[in-house]
Amino acid sequence: MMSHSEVSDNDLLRQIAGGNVNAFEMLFKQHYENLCRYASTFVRDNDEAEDIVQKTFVTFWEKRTDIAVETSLKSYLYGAVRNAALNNIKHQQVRQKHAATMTVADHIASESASDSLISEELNGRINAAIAQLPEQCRRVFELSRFEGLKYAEIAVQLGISVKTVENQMGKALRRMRDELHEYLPILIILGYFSV
Amino acid sequence: MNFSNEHIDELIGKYLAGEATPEEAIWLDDWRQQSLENERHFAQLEKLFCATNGQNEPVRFNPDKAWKQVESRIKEQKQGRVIPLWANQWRVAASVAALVAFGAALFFILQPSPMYLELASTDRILTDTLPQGDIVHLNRQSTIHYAYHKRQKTAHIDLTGEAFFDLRNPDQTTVVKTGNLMIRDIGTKFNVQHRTDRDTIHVSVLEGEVQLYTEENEGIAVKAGETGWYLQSTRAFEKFTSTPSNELSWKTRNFHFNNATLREVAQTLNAVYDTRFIIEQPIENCRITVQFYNEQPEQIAEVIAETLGLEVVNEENKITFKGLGCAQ
Repeated sequence: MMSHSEVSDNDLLRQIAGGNVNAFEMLFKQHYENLCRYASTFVRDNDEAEDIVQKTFVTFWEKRTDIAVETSLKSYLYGAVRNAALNNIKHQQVRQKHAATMTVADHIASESASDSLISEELNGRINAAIAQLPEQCRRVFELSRFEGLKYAEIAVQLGISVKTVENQMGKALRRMRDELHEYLPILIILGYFSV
Repeated sequence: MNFSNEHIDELIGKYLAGEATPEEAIWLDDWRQQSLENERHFAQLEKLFCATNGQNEPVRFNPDKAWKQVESRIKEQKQGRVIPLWANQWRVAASVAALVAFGAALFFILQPSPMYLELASTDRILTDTLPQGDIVHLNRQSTIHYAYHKRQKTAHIDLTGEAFFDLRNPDQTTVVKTGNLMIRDIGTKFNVQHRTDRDTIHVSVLEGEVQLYTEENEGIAVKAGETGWYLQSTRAFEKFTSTPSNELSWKTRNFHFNNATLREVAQTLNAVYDTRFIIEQPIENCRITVQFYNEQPEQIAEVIAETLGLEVVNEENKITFKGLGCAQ
């Protein structure tokens, strides 16, 4: 019986390469949630994210005897998921541009389609907190959150470095958490109920 | 990677915005699992992030249920049947692709969106060609973020560490930013060194000309054969004629040692070669004047040993110099 702490990367890879489904299951369950969350930060659609991660694992299984992992299994998996997610976004963009002429449903609209449990009052507080951010901080946050720009695009648009963008986003989140901390426990409770 | 608490928030922000590299995501996931406090900290920011767009928090993912699906797929493959796993999606995708192919091509040709790239080196020198044909050599432990704006024909590069730029586009403006210093050039070859343990940023120009400037100071022009310094503490600029120093050695493997101690020589060589040069204590302060042009470590060791009458021990990845003292 293998426990998580006892089995090294090489052992696990060897077992999987040899066709051991239990070893593969262990790898899968260990990383599935984190990988899905990571994928969802790119594709913004939970079903799409799970699809990507599952495909990545299936491909990994198919290629299991060929794979030479240079860093660690984790790095390999996270890297593969990110690449698949970015590819997915490219394809989505092509389809989205032609959404008017196509009848194919695309998944990009999931953000606006979610059923919101956020009350009017809370929404108002959030907007107020954003409005109170320092100038550059607020602009960075808005460009990222509301216009969906990547950090590099924000940097070019505002004439600042990407490092500054990272810094300002961190600052924005920090300040907003301070501002809204009394509401956060409520948000957390709602989360558990929705599971 | 080590992060302070402020940097944790920055990292979480990056992650939530879909900007985290795989390494950063791994680090963050490990960090979250270290304590309940960490997990809660992340969860708070995650909920906040989602709430700012009117959503409730993200759905939890169920690995057990997902495993069942994956397991059945791989078991079917094991039995030798080729299942068209996502056949429906591929059929739809194919017809969509056929219809949009022309439109998409046209769309991308007309749309000048910023091109973005990140390069990071760890223990090895990394050489890469940037999208517009420029070449960059990254020294160890260095990172660049590259963004190209087609409409303005401008490349913005954010540098941490040290890099040599070989820019090939005369009609493109490139701005390299490191710390508070910006370096603007047009089609040149130059080296930028910015290490966190030094106050000065060094810019050495091999060909062409660059402008060093900051937001509050229009700065100085640095030409081929010159080295510009920017002192971060005093925000001052200085310029020198480039002495044949060892600034570019990491890329060129050319060295000029002028009455340098063996300790300094070893230090310089160790920063460039994988082979470690070790100087024993009695001869650390012996001085030597010598030049090397792109030679192997063994050759370099031979020359040094001969010049100073020292004994050399060659081992795998290690060269040790022995002696009783300095010959005068």
